[in-house]
Amino acid sequence: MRQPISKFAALGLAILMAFPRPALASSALPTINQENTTVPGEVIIGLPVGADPTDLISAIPTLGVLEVVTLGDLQVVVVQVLPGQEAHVQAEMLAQPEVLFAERKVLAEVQAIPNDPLYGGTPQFPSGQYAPARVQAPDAWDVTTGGEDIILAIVDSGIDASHPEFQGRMMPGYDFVQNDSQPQDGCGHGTHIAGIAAASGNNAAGIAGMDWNVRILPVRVLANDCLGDPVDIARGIVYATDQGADVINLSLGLLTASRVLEYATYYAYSRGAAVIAAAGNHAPGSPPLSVFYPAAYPWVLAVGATGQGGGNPVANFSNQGAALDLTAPGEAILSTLPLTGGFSLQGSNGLGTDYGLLDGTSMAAALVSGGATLLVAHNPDFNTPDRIYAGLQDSALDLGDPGTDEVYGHGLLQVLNALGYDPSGLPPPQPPPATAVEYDPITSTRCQNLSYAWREIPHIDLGPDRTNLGVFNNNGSALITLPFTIDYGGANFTQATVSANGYIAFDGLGSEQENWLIPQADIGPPYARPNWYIAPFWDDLNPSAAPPEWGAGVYGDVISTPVGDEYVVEWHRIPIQQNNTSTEVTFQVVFIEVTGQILFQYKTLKGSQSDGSSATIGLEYDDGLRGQLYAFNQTGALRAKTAILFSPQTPGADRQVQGCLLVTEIAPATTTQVDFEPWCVQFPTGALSQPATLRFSVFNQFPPRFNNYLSLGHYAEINLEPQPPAPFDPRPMVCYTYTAADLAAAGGKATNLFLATYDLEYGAWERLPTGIDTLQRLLFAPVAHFSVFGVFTSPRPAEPPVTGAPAAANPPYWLLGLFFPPLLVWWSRSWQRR
Amino acid sequence: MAKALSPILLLVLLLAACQAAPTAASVTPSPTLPPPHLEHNRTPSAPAATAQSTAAPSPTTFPQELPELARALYGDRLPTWVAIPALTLKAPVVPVGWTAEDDIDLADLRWDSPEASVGWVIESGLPGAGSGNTLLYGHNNIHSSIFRDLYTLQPGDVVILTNGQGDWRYSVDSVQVLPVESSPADKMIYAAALKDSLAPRLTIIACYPPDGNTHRVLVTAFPSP
Repeated sequence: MRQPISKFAALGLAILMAFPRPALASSALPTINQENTTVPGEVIIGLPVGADPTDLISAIPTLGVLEVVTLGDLQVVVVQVLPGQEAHVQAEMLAQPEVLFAERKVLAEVQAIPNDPLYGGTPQFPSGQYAPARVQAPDAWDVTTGGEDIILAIVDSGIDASHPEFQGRMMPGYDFVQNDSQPQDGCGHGTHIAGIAAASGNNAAGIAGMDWNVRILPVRVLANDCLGDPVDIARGIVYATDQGADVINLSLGLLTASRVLEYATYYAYSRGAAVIAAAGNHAPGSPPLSVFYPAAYPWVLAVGATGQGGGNPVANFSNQGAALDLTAPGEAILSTLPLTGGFSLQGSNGLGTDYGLLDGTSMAAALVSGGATLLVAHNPDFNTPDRIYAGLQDSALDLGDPGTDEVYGHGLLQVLNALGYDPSGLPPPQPPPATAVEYDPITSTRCQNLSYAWREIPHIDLGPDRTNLGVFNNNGSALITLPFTIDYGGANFTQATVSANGYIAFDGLGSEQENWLIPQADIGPPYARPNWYIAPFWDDLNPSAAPPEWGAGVYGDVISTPVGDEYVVEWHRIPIQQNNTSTEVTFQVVFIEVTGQILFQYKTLKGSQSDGSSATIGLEYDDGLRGQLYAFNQTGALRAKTAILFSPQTPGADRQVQGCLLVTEIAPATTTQVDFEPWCVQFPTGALSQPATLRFSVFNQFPPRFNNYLSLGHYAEINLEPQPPAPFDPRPMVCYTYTAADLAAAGGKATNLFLATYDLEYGAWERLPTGIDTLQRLLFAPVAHFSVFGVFTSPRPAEPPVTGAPAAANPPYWLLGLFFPPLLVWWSRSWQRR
Repeated sequence: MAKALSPILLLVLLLAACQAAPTAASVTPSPTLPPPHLEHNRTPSAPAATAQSTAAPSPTTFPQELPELARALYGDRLPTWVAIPALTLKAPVVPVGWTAEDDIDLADLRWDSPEASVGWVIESGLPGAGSGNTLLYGHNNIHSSIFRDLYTLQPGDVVILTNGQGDWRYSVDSVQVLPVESSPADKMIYAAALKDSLAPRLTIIACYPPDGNTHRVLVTAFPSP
């Protein structure tokens, strides 16, 4: 399916290789021409995961889908378009509210140039390895030579794994160019990079890399022509992150920003991988080219190159700018090359096999990556990208203008100094961002497709079969090991803290008696309130206040069913603190392993406040930033013998389970209204000629249909049986009560909201003439027939705001100037006459 | 005399034409549609006043104005100030939205005017959230000249957004000045800049030049440690 790119690749390569080293020093400089590396006929489209791109693609008949890739929360669709139509397709795609970006495919290139081995008149590497000494590596090796449990990902052209310098340290890796598990180097660049960062030292052979013990993860994203598809590179970065890479080396770059690489590098950074990239090899010129992407992103460490001469002058090819962070030697760098010939750099400028010299910020970045893995191995406090970046930057040898400058960044890498840096003052690691998930609640009181079915579990207080979880006392809690891994809120948990106060926390905070609104992140001391929890009845409960004969306690057990296991946690006959034995509540949480659903069931609710009037009921996750509130201190929120089921959904994805269902009989009498919050239907007198059954199903997701308006994710399917002849006359009214969140999503204007109906025959949404009642917060529309209805908003304008007035502000005073010379003449004459 | 007046007339007309949209259009129901007579008692099939997942406040306290609405939804995550040291600028931030002028083809969408403050688009990214495109815009010569010098920003300059949780630092990546009467390529740059993002970014928009509105300044920045 991949489009052949060889013709354009050849042009791109020509840029890199046409200039032997002496020419580089002269004024004949490589000019970068992005046209050469832009793949014709391809557009990269970004969508949130869950959105189905089928309709989007079918909107333009000439489009072909080349590739659909999921990267974390991002879905990337590469489409083939007729050459010359790329801009048109980009504009069409950007007009769709769901589309995050649509960009051309610009290939990234290696930031290296083969060096002439005969340069300087001496055959075979006259200066050997001068670079390690410049960055204090020999001294650093007295402190550490690296750790075997550290992973360095070389996201590049692959690595020749048979090279003796990497023996015993190569991980399997992956080839994203050919989609197989043999990331063999067909360019020669990746092997060179791996040697600089991680060739074995002290092995009486060849060269010494910066880190002698690190495990090397080869990820091939650059083709044999040394050019890389940004989608492949992004896949490689995400793969390396998911493989647990501590440091990711990116000795590649391109002039233009790329949303795909922006997301992938941020994905790595936000999950704890330090990303180190070449600043770029296209500095000469006036002004010099700024730092290439992805190095230019602040979350990526951008490395420039210094030369071989005394005083570490900046290499004449090294890109400059505010985004530059650090420099390291990048001229005439000796490192490994594939053992067998046939790789594309071979022969260029006399480059042989086994070992050879290359110039470039590629090489400088590899030195820094090897230094970074030394830091990680040496001090466990180097456990976040920011801590690693700070260690490398703050210890650098200041060059050029004092302090940070646009030529050297913070200065030249000094590994020994960096090893002595104490990063513990910087923020510690944060939990990784959760993947997007939301929960749809349905209740047995409201939805006829859910019924209360209490799960009986044995109550055993002692012995090997004990089910008592040991949660006692006011504010007591117990840490339990879950019988199966629970995927909750986008994260996996094997343990949980069960609280006497009617909730289960996944962040260990099980003693909070004051219940909170959901979502509400606890961001200040004393950090006692949970941010990851499940609350069937979070209130101030006290198991130990019950008389002994009640058998009160919190119990947990697994139930096996034909469709899989369920884990049940039951709070049995627990008094509410303030009322002690005049109140008692019995309820349970059921974790359904197969579906990831969470079921709350309420068996007994006795006494005041047992209706949830002082309780929080719902789910909170994503560090307290997201959640699904069912009720907060709401009188009458709960009734005995009822159930609430929460089903996980990928936002925007096709519906996996049915929504909340209401079935009701309607008589053809006078005006009839059926409320099914937040929806309602009103039948005017005469709309029905016979009694009918109304089926009303409410849900939050529907296969997306791309339009120039934006769905708010509220849908209702309404059916009437027997089906009256359409169209209705008079027409029934469908109505929807909007929330504050709906209003904000609509740019704060109720007038931007409207209802639409889904035409099942044509598979398209059709806007309904919608009335708005701001007092009742109601949208309403008359309908000709029943179908699926949805709430939509006019999207953000695609045009930028008007924030100024035009230039006519000044009257044309210069016209006065035209009168001035004659005036002067007249005045001088009249003066002469005097 | 008439000649002397005409530039002023022209000025007044142009100013009127270039004012940003009024904040809220009429929100009364369309006259062709009678509002349904709604009774707030439940039908027998849905008896108890079952809890609503959104826990909507009662209609009387429902926030109708943008600032209240944003405060109710985002609390202390709402951006309140923006500082740009390179412009010696510190300005209050207010939430803004947009209005569909024409409810048929949705082509005529207008951004709200932030008046003398800096506007933050109400459903755009929140500072410190780890994702989302935070969209800010301000006037260059009407209502205020907050962003008159925005075009002078350089890559590497710092922008600081403040909310109730603290200060959030951004580093300018690029500053583009593009004509409004633009080529399809420029229109695409605008459309892309106004899109949401899964990685965090900050986009700041103002008119250009300082005495006109023929161009737009687009500043892209990324959070920086």
